[in-house]
Amino acid sequence: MSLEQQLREELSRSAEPIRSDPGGRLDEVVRTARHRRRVQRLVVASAVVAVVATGAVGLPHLDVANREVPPATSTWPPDPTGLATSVFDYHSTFRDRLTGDWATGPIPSRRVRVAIKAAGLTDADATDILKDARLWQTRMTFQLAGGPTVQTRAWDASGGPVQQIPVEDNPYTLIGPNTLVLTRRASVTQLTFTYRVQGGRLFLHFEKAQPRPLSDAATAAVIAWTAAPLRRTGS
Amino acid sequence: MSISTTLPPVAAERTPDYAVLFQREFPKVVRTVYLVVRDHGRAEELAQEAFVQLLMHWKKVSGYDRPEAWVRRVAIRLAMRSSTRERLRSVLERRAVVEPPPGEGVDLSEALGQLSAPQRAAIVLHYYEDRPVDEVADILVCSVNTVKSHLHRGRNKLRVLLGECEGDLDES
Repeated sequence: MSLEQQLREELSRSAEPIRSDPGGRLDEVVRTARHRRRVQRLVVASAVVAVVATGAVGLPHLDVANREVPPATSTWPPDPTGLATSVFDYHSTFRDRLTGDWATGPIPSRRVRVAIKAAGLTDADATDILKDARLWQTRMTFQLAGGPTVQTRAWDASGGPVQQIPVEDNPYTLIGPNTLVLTRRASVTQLTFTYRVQGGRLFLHFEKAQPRPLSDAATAAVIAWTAAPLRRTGS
Repeated sequence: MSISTTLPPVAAERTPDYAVLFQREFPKVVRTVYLVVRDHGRAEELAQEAFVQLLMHWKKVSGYDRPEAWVRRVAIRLAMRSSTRERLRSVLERRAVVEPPPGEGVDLSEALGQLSAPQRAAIVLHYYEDRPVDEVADILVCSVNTVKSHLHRGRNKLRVLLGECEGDLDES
C-alpha cells in the first residue's frame, strides 16, 4: 500500500473517535464573545475618556504638521508690541528649555543654500541672502524677562566684507512643548517652528507663516536660521 | 437558551445562520485540529477559540461565500501555533527520552507526531480533508509551492521514520 493511502487511512482512523457536542459549546462561544466585546467597549471608552481628559488639560496635539496652529494670543491680529495673554501658558507650565544663547558655528554657506533649495526656493533666492559668503553663522537669544522674546542675528562668517541680515528682536510664545510661534514686529506675521532640544543642541524647523505666506526672500532668510542645529553658548 | 437574547447585538440578526454553521462545522473543525495538535482537549479549545473569533467578526464574515473556510483557516493557524509551541516545549523532554531508531517500533501515528506543524497541517488538509494543493495554500496562507514542499518533505520524513528508506531527519 502506498504511503499516501496509508496516510489517508491512518488519519481517518485517528479522527474517527473524536466526538464533540456542538450544542454545549455554542453557549460557551456566545458567552465568551459577549464578554470580549464588553471588554473591547470598555477599552475604547477608557481610551476616549483619556483623550478627552488630555485635551481638557491642554496637552499638545502630536500631529504638528497637519494641524492648524491655534492663535498664540487671544486676539487676532496679535499685539505687535508683545504677546497678549496666551490661551495656555506653556512657558510657566513647562520649563522653557529655549531660554539662553544659541549659536551655530561658522557653517559652509553651501549647506544653507542646500536647505533653502530643499524648501522649494531657487538658487537666486539663496544668493540674495548669502551673497558671496563662504561661511554662515546664526545666533539666537531667547529670554523671558519682559515677556518671551528672541533676538536673531545671522551673518557672513567668512571674514570678508560684513554681510549681515538685520537683527530681529521678536516676541515668541510656546504653543506646545515642541512648537513655538514667533511674531515678527515689522510685518505682524506669525512664524511657526517646531523644535527639539537634544544633547545641548537646538534643532529648529520652520513650518509656516500666518496669516499669509512670506515672500521668497523672507522665507530664505528664515530657512537660513534653521539650516544647522544651534549649540547652547550661554544660559 | 435563547440564542437571540444572548448574542452580541451585531450578530443577533444573523444568529440562525451562525448557529447552523456552528452545528455543522464545529465537529469537523475539532477533528481536523485534533489531527494537527494530537490532543482532544486542546483541539476543542482551539476550535472554540476560532468560532469565538468568527462570531466577533460575523457581520463581515457572514457576507463571504464560504464563512466555514474563514473559521477553518483561523483554527488551523491557531493549531499550528499551538503545535509549534508545544514542540519547542518538549525539546528538552525529548532529549531525555531515548527515541527508537527509525523503523523500529514507530508506527505511522507516532511518525506523524514527529513532523513539523506546517508539514502536519499540510498533510492533514491534503490527505484527510482531500483538499487540493491550492486550497491548502489558501488555508495556510502560503504559496502552492510551499505546500508542495511541506508535503514532499513530510512524506520523506515519514518514510525515513517508518524505515522505508534512509534519509536525513533534520531536513525540516
